Amino acid sequence: MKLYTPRPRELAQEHIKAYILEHDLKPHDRLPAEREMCAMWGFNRCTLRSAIAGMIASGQLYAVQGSGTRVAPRFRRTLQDLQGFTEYAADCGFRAETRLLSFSVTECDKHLSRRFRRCLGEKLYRISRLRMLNETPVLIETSYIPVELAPGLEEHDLVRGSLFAVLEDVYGLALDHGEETTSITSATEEEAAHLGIEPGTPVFWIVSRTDTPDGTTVEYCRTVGRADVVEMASVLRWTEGEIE
Amino acid sequence: MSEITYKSPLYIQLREVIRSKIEEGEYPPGTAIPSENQLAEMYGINRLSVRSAVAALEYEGLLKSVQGKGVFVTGPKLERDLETLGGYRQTMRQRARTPSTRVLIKAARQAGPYYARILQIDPTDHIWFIRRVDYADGEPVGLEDIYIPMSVLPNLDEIDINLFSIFDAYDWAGIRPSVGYQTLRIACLDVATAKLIGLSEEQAVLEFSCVTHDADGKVIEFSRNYVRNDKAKFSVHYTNQ
Repeated sequence: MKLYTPRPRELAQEHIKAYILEHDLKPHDRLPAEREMCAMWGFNRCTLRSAIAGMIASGQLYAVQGSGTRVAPRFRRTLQDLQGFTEYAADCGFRAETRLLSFSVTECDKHLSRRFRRCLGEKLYRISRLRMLNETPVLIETSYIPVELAPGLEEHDLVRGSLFAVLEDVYGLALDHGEETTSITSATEEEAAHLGIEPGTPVFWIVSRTDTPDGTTVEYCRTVGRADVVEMASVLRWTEGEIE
Repeated sequence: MSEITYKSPLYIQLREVIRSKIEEGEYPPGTAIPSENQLAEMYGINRLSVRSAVAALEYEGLLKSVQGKGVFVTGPKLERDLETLGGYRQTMRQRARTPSTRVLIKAARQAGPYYARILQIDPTDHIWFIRRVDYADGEPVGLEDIYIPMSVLPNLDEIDINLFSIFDAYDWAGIRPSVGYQTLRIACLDVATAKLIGLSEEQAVLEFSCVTHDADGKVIEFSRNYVRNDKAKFSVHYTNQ
């Protein structure tokens, strides 16, 4: 049987991660002083610093000049429910804020006409919103909704209110199921400016579609999410003998 | 995300032109797109704009440039879902790809404070640590670190995990993996790690962490999986409950 011995730096990181879990440290909570951590776990200062530097580089911690090392914020988004941003933020106790970047009427181009199974040129609302949590910009969501399904949508408050709630309550659209695909892209200059990051930074690129029970597509949405503060969660279940 | 209009930067407009030609099948997988010079001439734009457009599509995995030969359209990405628990091989077989893995490390270690907490065991208990590279049709797609309490699979040492999957090992031990709680982040691999999965430089990859429980709710495995963005895409279905 082979034995694996973690390198001191790796082990120091494991101790720090365990400490955060054990003491239930929240985003922005402070880690103990370096000296204290060294004494607690028996590492030398150099190893501990290198461990912390690695965790800062990977976005798990951040350092404040003169006030130690803190836990970096993470906003977790669940991939498998239809919960909108507004409800999600309220559930987690975040201060959510939405800015309307643009609201316009556009026409189905080739790509959108295929997504909606509608003819070229059919009118779509295009709503682009910047989502912020605790003053940090996290997502840019650009939604497309057929004008035919929600005429007069521009009269509703989509900044303080939830788009899905308006679609369900005002227009009687039953949002039933959908699909979401996640990958990485790099932020364009405009996206980067809104999100407060450097252009070209890797970001989440999420494309989703939400349908009514009869399969009418109500919303098609493209989301750009900041990779340093957002993580996605999903629950995997074992299915017996699933063959595609 | 702003809409692309005639006012958008030229490289963004060209990127969309090429993307739609790939989607429409005008540039089929495996073929070369027109050269930088040809594209620049075709649209009357400078080569720098062409280069930026091509670089962006390469990054997304739609194009691949081959030194001295040109820029080629890649095939469709592997599609993996984010809701079915199943080993790597099982997922790949369902997608009609030939899976293989190369084990880099398979060894025992002390759980230590962190893995003990996640695996709900004692820090002095022993665990298996497996690091392997996953391939699809011979091409590296990801790197996996897997942590399993030794008490869950005491004889893993005798099982050749290059030939059998870890899910096979669970099956033989009468263990039923039942649910996995997964989180997805974007991680930047250092050069040495990136090389292991065929990337030449520091590059953003998708990082999946998953805690797997058996039918009784006991934690049987923790895994961290780094997957190349240009080789796979991930989707999930949801319903209103």
